Amino acid sequence: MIKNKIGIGAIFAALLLVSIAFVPAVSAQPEIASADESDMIVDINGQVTPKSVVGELGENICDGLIAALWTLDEVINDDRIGQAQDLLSKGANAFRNNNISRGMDYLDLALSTIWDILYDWGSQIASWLYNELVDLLNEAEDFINQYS
Amino acid sequence: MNTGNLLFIGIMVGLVIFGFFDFLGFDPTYGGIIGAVIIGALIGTTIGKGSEKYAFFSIFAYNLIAWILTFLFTSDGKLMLQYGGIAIPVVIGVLLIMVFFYSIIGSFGAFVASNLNRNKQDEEL
Repeated sequence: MIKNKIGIGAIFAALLLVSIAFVPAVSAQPEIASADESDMIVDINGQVTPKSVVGELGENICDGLIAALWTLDEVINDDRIGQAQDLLSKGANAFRNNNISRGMDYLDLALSTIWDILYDWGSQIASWLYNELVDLLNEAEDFINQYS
Repeated sequence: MNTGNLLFIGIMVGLVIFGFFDFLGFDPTYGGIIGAVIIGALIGTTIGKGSEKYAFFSIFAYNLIAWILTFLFTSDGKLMLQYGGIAIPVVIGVLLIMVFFYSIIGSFGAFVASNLNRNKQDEEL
């Protein structure tokens, strides 16, 4: 029984160590290098505030939306995607500096821009998806015909 | 051990881990995944076979409680919650999806831990 616990403990210690080893590699971004060295932020009043979970959550949401828009940019051709990405990166910056309300402002603006884009291009995105699906099915049919 | 007690212990340990990672300034994504794996392993080793659903519920519950406490009792969370508009539903939706994924990861952890435990016990018999 004690052997069991040692083995499982060793496995999870290894899991933890490996995941910790990946943290700097995954979270290495040029913005972070230029940002503060410690986790403390000094605001305009000279007060020091620690980085919060909420700010990190907002930053992650903004980064995720930027990645999603980057994918959307491959499909449709619209200038507003770049604008929304700019707004989102400003929002991520604000969240990173613990400026929650300004980050939410930017996120709100970016979301309304994204909403406009989806409203205008919705039908075309649907037809693009349909075409991709049909292409895929045709390729599958060719493959089956070739090898059956 | 009583299963209800174990769920309670899982939720309490999970809240402690969440608070610890919060204190350390860890990224919530990594903190959530590591905490979920730890809680899943804890519940998987204790209950054994069929522990996945308990791990799932426990991790879902502790993450929800922790985020609700964060939103209600920290100044940043209150600032974010006060903000109207369409940003709030997006934030809450993303949060729920993240918590769901942590729960799935934790239930896999429980599955692996319970299987390891059972196989070792079989070897001893």
